[in-house]
Amino acid sequence: MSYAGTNKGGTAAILAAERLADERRHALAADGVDIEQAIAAFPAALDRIMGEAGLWDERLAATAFVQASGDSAEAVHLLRAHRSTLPRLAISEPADAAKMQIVRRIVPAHRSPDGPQLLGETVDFTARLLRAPGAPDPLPLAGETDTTEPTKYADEPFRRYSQFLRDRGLLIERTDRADPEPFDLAMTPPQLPAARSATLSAMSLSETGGLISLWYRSVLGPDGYADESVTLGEVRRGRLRVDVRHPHTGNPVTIGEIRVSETEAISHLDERGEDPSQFDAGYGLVLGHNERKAIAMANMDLAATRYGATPEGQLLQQLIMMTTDGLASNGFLEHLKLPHYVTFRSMMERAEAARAVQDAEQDSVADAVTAVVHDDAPLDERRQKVGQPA
Amino acid sequence: MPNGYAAAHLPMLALTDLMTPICSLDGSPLGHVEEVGIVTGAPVAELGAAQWILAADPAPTKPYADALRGLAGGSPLSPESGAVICQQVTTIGDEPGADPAHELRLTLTGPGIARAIVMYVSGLAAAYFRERAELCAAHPVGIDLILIASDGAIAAIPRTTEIVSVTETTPTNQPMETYR
Repeated sequence: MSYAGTNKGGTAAILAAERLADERRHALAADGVDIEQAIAAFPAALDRIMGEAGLWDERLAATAFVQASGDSAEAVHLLRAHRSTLPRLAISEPADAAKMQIVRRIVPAHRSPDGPQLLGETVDFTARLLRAPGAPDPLPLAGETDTTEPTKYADEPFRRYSQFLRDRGLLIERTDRADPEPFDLAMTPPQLPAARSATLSAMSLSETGGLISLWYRSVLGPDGYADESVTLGEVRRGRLRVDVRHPHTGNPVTIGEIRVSETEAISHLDERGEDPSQFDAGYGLVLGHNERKAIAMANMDLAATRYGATPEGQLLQQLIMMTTDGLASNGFLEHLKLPHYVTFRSMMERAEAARAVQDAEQDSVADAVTAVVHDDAPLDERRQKVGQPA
Repeated sequence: MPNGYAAAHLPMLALTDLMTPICSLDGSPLGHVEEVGIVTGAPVAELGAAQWILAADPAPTKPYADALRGLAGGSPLSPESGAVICQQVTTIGDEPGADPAHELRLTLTGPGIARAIVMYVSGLAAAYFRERAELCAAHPVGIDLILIASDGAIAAIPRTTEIVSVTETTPTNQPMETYR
């Protein structure tokens, strides 16, 4: 049995397959899987989906997550499809990440930076022991705790770590005046060489696992783009206001708030040809609370900027622009499941034709050898007949 | 639509946004392109730079030739930047209408049409479709056309559709002008 596209006998099979997927959706609705519950229960999954879709809407993300049975790639696909139908009504004012309301901020590069080391809510220190919801902790929290009241800090202005280095004259200047506006990936296809705003946009929208894998490969793999000795200057999570200009008054008005994760990755410029009195800082900012992606982004931004003038850096730009988008990579992979009967039949025919030619050649060589072996001519002539030097 | 607004405004309101420059084709008082811009955020641009064109005035005699030739047709690498016209007409139908004296009989072929279909349009000159044919001759460069009748009937004619004949009908349904 086989199936083919519509009108070739495959329509019934396709409809039946779609009906099976539909039944699951209806069963979920009948079980009362509630969007509000999904928002409350799976914030990390939804933040990741919204970041990869490039659309901030928790209810829509939860709807996509439930509809996709928790498959984040499928949920991202649903959201991107929806996003493509939405009108663009305004372009926001540039959001200053320094105005973020910080819920977590750590500076791995320095014990006592300006401002707080604020661990916030994190599973960084959690023993990874499974337990049922509501069950007692098999390994209860214990240990001496400091009873002194922690210092109170306002949100910024305090110096971020890159500024601390800049104030000491230790940070290389990377401002690119030729790249004043953010690159709009929704309207402009990826181009090479890519401006920094383009690689940053691509990574911000990239698939989390794909970007982390690209970073890890470039640390431990054969490519060697990223630097193993990178230190994180800032890792932050928080809430950021989004302002647009009012269409009538022209004044900025706040239309909502997004969660973001922000990272600075810092590296000492100590390679051949670099200025060892300088550090370089890469930047990562992603929608939602998704530290892993922001950290991978900052590391890859650092590598793409640091090596941007070299052939390796240009290859890295190509990897970032062309291979990190989850919708593109998953879509290309999924298409392999579609019928390829005609193209593959054509390959089969070429292989069979090549085999026929090889068989014919072998037969004629065998005939020639047989003829030569049974030939009474002198040895040199017999050699010539099979193409050997006399 | 509120009174005084041609139905051709509706697709403009539904489909334009900040990224789609808009313009009026005829500059007629019936076209409120600035108001569309205020509602959707679409910037009002010069004719040649606009992507969505409002033609709110049904004009059986106007050829619109100069205006149509001034539209953006896109380029082979960027055919999507060719203009879309939202053209007000009086009637659209698949049967001859009540006023055959001012009606065009169009025969359409092309992708998505099994053989050929016939439609009747009143409120446009035959010369309008001659201009459109010239603008769409070098595929994929061209313009897309949305016809909107005052009763809400709509016909979208993409640039890939070939209008193989345009016939002006008379009360006795005798062809008067044919091209191609």
